[in-house]
Amino acid sequence: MTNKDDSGQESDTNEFIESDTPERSDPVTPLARSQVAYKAELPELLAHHRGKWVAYADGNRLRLGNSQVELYRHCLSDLGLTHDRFIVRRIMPESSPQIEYTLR
Amino acid sequence: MPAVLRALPYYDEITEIAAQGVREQAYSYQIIVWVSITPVEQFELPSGARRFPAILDTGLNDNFAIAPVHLRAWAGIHWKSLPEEGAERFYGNIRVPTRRAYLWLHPNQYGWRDWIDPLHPAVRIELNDGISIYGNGEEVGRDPRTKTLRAPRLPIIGLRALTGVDGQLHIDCARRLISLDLPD
Repeated sequence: MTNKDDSGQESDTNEFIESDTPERSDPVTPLARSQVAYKAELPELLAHHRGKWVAYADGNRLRLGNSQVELYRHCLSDLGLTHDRFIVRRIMPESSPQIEYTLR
Repeated sequence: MPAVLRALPYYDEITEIAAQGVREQAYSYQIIVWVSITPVEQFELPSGARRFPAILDTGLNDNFAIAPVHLRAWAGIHWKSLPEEGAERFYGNIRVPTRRAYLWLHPNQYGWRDWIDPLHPAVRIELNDGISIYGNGEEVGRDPRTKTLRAPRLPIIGLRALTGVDGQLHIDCARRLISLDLPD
């Protein structure tokens, strides 16, 4: 799938993946759409709701909460969502997915 | 800010630890804590939930990493039963999907490493991006190279997990003691 950027050029919708990570060609899943939406809104979320938790489903923000478990309850019990439909993230600065991997 | 770990010792020499009848060793200067893993549908930790040792490793920049064999044997969970979190980690250049789960940390009895405090319940560590499961030659993601990842010898908790819950970790190297406070 592709999106159009400001210049009208088509771009890969997986652009939220770190540019220094290996190549990938996954289809865009509901989880990925939510991750894209979260990353797009992160600056605004950090400005106003830093430290809180936020849930997204199918690319849309559902609600804010004070804990992860609160939002899991909301998504799973109240809304009856399946795990492949939603994400729950703590609003904090983005961190690298690169892990220091050494033999132990 | 309640204390979860209180004067938890670590040692200069190799020590024996036991989990679910399996004996393991903690190497010198490794900080051992006791944890449980549950699916996120379990909003409370069931009484009698299995607990097992993990290394608290401030040098690990992941949340929590565990080998498939330990997850099965010690938590009674097959990694495939844990849903993908929608996030991923890169171990070298190998993409490992994280899995959705609760990590529970068991308070210790003051001054003891392997004795759990029966008066204080385990504390849920809310992990922002889930846990990483790899090793034992198992293909755990869409990248077949995940089979080549070497499993952690013991489960590991990294500083990312404690940062995500605003923990305060104190390491008294002179007395070989750890304390950890977590917000309510």
